[in-house]
Amino acid sequence: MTAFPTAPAPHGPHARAVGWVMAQVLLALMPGAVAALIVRGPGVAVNLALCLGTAYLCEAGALRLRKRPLGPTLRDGSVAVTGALIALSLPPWLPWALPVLGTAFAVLFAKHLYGGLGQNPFNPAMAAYAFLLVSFPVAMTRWPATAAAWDGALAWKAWIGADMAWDGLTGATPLGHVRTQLALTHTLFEIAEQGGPPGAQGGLLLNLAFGLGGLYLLARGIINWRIPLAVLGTLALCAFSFQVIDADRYPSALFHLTQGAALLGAFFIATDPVSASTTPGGRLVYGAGIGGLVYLIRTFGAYPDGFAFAVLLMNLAVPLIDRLTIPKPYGTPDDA
Amino acid sequence: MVRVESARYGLRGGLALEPSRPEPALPWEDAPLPPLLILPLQSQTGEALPPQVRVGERVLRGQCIARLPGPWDATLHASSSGVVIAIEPRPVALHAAIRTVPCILIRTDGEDSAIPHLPPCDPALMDRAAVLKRLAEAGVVGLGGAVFSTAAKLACAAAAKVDTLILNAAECEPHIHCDEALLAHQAERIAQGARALAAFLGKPQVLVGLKENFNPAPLVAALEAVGLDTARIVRVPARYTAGAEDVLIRLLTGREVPRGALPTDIGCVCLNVATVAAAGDALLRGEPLTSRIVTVSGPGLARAANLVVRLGTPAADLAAVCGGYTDQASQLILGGPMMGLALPDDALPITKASQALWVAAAVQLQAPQAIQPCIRCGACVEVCPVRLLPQQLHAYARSGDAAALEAHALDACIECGCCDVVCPSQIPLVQTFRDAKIQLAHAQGQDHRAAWLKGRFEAREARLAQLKALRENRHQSARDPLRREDPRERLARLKARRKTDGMPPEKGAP
Repeated sequence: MTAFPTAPAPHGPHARAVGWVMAQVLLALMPGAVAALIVRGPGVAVNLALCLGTAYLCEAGALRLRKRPLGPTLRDGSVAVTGALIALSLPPWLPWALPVLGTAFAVLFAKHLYGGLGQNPFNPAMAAYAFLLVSFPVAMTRWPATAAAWDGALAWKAWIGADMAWDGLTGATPLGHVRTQLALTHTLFEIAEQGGPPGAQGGLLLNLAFGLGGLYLLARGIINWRIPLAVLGTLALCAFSFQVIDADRYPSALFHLTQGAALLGAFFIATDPVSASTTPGGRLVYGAGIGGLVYLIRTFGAYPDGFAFAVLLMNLAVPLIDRLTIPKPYGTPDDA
Repeated sequence: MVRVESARYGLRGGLALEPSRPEPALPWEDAPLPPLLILPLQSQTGEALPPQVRVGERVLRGQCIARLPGPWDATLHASSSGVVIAIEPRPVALHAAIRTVPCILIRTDGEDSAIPHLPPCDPALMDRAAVLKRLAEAGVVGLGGAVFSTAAKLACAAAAKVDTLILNAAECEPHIHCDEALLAHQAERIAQGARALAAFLGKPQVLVGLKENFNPAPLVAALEAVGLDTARIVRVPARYTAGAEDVLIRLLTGREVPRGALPTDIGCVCLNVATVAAAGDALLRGEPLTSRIVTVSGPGLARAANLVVRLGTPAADLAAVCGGYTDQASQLILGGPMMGLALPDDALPITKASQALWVAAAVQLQAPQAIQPCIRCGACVEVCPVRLLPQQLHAYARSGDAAALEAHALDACIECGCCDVVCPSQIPLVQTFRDAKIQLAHAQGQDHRAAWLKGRFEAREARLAQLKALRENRHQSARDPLRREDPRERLARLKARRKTDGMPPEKGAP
């Protein structure tokens, strides 16, 4: 007789680990990160270094305080994704304390206070972004003009927090520019006649790069199509409807889809599985809610872009959405 | 003309587990008679079968050696001729767990003398009661793994006046080819059985759920030869869980079996093709069920084959027929990789439920620290064939929320293992659900059911303990996974396992 070791079924190897999933997400962020470096200058790399460093330090500290083993959690890469998403959302040459503060807030408050990986109700990166935007509104909305972003002396002054370093050298984002001009009762036609919003090409490049990464994630089956499609579809539908009503005052769907955080948000932020809805139907509702809120905030709200607030608001609604969209198990009558 | 068509209804969830390259068909052989046969004295419903023979008595192939009288007798037959040398407890794979139950041990004499066959009992000529009695007497049960009494199933179907007879030839777990072999080599047995059962059920429509990469030609010819021209062969996707009873019924008819109900409640009765062939043998030739086809394969064996095996043959004899173990042999799995049972040793016998014996190459030891928190990615939701939310069930099972578990239909889980395999956090979801079912059954006061579920749980605990011991001894025994077991260890283990409770397996196992 020959003895063999036993194990419970199923006996196949597991398909993929969390660490592999997170590594794929980081890989998919690469085109976007390169595009951001080109468009926004070396400040992006500085932000990435600060955010990633802070993220790992805070994760290790929090695990230590919670008396959890460091190895497996630090290796799974989830905190690197959080850090990278924060860094890619921030303006370059932000005073150094802000990326550090924001990332620490994301990891310590938004993630570990709720119980760590898998337990956080809010997207940590967007919680950090909203926290910084509300606390430091001036610094967070100061995007250096492209030339200034490559000026070492100016950048250094701004980075160490010397006040007013950017005076006269900041440019509005395309979304912000259009918003300001519309508020001055200019029409979209007039804005276009003056050469269109400055930086629109950069915004387009960024969004295309993030879109490329998103398609990679879809192709590898890392993310499901439902959330990105619902976000972008709803955003486009809202924009198209308003454009039909008044093409002078409401920019096109294409403009909305290719500017601001549209594709980064749809593919990388709204799809954060932990804070998103998990039912197939719920994901459509959740994504549609984000797309609609983004349009509302961009068009009628107080900020030029609104991804962070839209995601956080829909995070709040997730328990309710999940409850209302439980699929009917096999064999449940339609009227049950 | 027998029509061959593709499935009109879609398959939800499941996994593509087929090997990327088509595997060559395995040889079909009769396994030689083993020197010893081990036949468990336990019925499918977990009741003890009173033996009809004494130690020292000579028995013939096909002789009834144990019988539990009931509405449909549960019977056990000698699968070859020889002498009963002992009636003693032995570990046997029963109802998805290894249990130690009393077994009849027969030392075969090599003559394979059989008792005379019973007279034919063609349903076209005999009344229903006689047909059901014959099926029970011949020991015909579901050979797709569920081993449910075919007489009981057909009695239920006849009472419900079903309009559809479904033949399950979807064989969806990887490494199992016994139905494929039967279809290729003995399609006429299936066709004759199908015609007999169709006559018994009052000529319902006959649907065959055939895996799309199987050749339909032999079955088409055989069905036409017996005059079942109205039968339809529906090609179903070569995808795991397509062969689960409830899933196949939906694929073929679009009907869903309501939760807590039986297929007969929606006018369907579904039988595995091997079961249909065995029913045909019992009715038309008067032969009791004494053998089954077992796919014996895997990188741990010198060669692979589909073997016609006498029930009660120890796994070791089948490994020997296939040239013995290779250096890679490290795990012995009875059944498929998704729902099969890892055997502690190869002395355990083949039962009516054993479709395959797979000798795996690498032990997938799952260290506890590999389990990570759920990140709610929803991969499990996408693959669940019964539309459950495994990650929610897991959360509720951990918090012990019985009401939420019921609301999320834990009872509908068929334990197919798809969610488990795709989970990036390596959470043992199926085990969690099995444990939660025990808790729930206790909470609902179904103590008998809980006891049956618990039998599986304890078997699992024993396995885990063994796994742990193995892991600790790994530095010593890693080079030799086929180490011989100390007889004292074995005795201690057998004593620890002496438990003989049982309940029917759940419906719907693929």
